[in-house]
Amino acid sequence: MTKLAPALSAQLGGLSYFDFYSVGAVVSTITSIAFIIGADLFEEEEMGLLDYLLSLPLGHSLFVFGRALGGAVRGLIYTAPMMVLVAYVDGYGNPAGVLGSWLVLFILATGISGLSITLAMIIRSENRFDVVIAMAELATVRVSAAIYPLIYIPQAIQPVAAYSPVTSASDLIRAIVLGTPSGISETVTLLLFVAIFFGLGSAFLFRKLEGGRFE
Amino acid sequence: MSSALTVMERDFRIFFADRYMLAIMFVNFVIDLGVSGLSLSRMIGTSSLFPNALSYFLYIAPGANLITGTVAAFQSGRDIWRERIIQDTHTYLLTVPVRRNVFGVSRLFSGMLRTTLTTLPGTIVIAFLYQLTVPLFLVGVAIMMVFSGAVIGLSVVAAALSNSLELFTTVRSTVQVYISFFSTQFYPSNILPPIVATLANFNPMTWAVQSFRALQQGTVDVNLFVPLLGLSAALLFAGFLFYRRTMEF
Repeated sequence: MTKLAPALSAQLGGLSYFDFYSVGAVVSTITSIAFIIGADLFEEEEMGLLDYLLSLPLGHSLFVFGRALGGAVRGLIYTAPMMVLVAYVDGYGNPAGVLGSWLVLFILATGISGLSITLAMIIRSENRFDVVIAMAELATVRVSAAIYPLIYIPQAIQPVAAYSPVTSASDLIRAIVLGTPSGISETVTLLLFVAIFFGLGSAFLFRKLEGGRFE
Repeated sequence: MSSALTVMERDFRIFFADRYMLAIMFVNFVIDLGVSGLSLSRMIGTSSLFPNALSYFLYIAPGANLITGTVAAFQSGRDIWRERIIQDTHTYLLTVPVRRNVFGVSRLFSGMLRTTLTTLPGTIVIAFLYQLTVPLFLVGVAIMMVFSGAVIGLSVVAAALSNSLELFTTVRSTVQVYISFFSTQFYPSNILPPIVATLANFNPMTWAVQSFRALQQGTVDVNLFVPLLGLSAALLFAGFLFYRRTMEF
């Protein structure tokens, strides 16, 4: 991309597009991985594993909480080494900053897991769920500033992209690793997203468990 | 012949069981083209290779439809995977009075047709953007059909080898990354790193997207179509062999 558009760096305030994209690639990857948790719930139901899990000696609320957090931890395990590699490639060496980046990734993954569980609870057909998840994944990553700067996104979509949790997470990590400016609004947006979808996902899953098996 | 048609009819019944699927797939294409395509075009702006943002947008437009085709093809592969691992209907299907080779070929061919049908609205949009004549539009549909053979082959190999959802999903993501980034979907081959340019020659996306771009010039480039045909035939055959292997006990 830099070869195609040499002027891009100047428009990004001196930041190379490679550095910009490297952070976006990690954020996009964890977003994709965090979406898998909803598909897992479907498979467990189809294989009859959900009944077994519900028979375990732990409360349903604990089960719900664990599944949502489990999705986020799993995503972090996959992407933590990538984040270290990106920090190295971008010439950033502060361990505290890398830990901060992991925290941002974890918070994003928690919200995305919640969104995935919410969709899994709303959609009844597994086939449709698979396609809707692919669409949700595409929309959350593409309608955001993960892989291209906000100013280049079509103007009609910019307001949506500006408040995307993926944009917020990307901007926060860029602020840590690349030193780009960042405000409090990114943190607020990210935390609000997590609160809404973690809560919704947990509520839907809890209601489904208490109301019996999937139809 | 009638048994093959019955197998294909079953696949289409599964496909049409959810009437929103086609619409959702089209929304995927619209996001890919309307958001990513426009954003990337605006980033490129004017360069030595592309005189304006529109020319780059038209350059990458067919890729969005081909990626939608890849997603649709893996949906067919997932049906086969579900029959084997989740629904346990694979062994039952082998008891129906259809020869196994016919059964395997029919499943692959119906997957190709489903993929072509799913991407048809996108192909129409590309034809509109490229201002293609009706005969060239039909060539575009044929390119999609041949490309779908390649990705159906890959998806069936993944379905035949994966014993868990995680593995199938990981293979699907890996194939999508290979199809997208190790090809000329976004960049001309002369600016790709040499090793990536070499790998791009073995990627059906490269030949399919180049064939589409040739249509924009009003020509059908056989030199681009033949490698696509060869790659697709090879991958389709690999898909058949792996699927056939799952039928032996």
